[in-house]
Amino acid sequence: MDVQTGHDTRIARMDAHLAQLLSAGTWLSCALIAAGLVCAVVADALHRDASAAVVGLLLMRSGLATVIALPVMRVAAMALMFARNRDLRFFAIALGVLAIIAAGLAIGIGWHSHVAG
Amino acid sequence: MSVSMALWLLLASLAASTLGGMLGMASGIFIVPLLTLFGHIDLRTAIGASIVSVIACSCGGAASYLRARLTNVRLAIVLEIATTAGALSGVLLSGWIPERVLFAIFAAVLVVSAYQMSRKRREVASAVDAEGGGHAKDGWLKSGLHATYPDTQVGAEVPYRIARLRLGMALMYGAGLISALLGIGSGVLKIPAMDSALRLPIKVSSATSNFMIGVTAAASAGIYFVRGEIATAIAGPVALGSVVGAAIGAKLLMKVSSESIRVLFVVVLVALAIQMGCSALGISLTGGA
Repeated sequence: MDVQTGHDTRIARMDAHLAQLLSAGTWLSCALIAAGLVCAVVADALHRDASAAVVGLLLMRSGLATVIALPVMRVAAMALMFARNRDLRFFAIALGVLAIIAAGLAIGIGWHSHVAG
Repeated sequence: MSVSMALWLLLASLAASTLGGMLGMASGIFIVPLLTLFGHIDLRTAIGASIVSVIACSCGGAASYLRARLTNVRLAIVLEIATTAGALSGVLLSGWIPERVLFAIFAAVLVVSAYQMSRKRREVASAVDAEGGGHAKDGWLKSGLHATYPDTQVGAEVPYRIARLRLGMALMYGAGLISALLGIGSGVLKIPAMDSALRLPIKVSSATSNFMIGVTAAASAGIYFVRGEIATAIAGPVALGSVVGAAIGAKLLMKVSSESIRVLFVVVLVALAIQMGCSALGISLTGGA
């Protein structure tokens, strides 16, 4: 019974940590995108120099990168939590998911440099 | 970036996401047709923008499901092996598939979604023995996936068991592939996988599916991003509008009877399917190029 209760507590704690990470990450990415959008739109409306528009696009791009990285960070956080709980089965599975994502990125970067080259 | 274009993208994705959120759907299935048919944006650019918005909505919605302890995170990570592998295959395939064929696949997914929406989801959770104990035939993996969830109506923890994991994973591979190809959350395959194959309770199914969509979409969006195929000026407002819309939709979901708008959505999905089908045949009904 104690083992089961400890197991449930660990899962509940993991759920709470993941909720915190995803919530904070979503807020951060939305703030970056919103700030970038305001910058780009104001620069266009006032016909200011192009640098404000560039800053706007850069802010938006970093917001989009944060959105895309957020679930990957979530999987990495799960891998760490499984390792800390000595739950090696699920630690290995989480590493497997990260490996598939990394393989995809490597293929994407290879393809991009092939086209750019 | 023009003010009118940014505003149009923001409002269009906000509207699509509010409507999707009211029925607990990912908004990609509405955003891609909206951007291509009415915004006259290139299909692949629309898919890139939509896939980022799908991630943002998944992450935004996941926190409340996690806090309610409805998400089975262990099952999610196992199924994510299949969905991310499917997403990787989808990206590799997408370069070989002509745009008209993508329009045709999208139209087919819309028709199947309309059919699914016209039928009410039924609870098919597998029965649990009185003790909720494990079965001897469960393998090393499956035995760690059975769990409980808090049912507020009953006021108690309800145990559930995972059925047909291999079939579930096969369907999830397909869901990942379709998600990467079309820039959608791919509920069209996830619903049968979760309900019929794995036999999860609907609340657990919705929460776990939402949790997984983010990683599935990130696997393909990451590749599109490093390839430079995600147009910042379009994806930015679409992602922002979608997150806000999904939050509004989720609030409305509690207040509006989903039965009353179900028929409307079936009609909208069929209308979009016809338009996407026409695009596949090279016929434009909205005055675009």
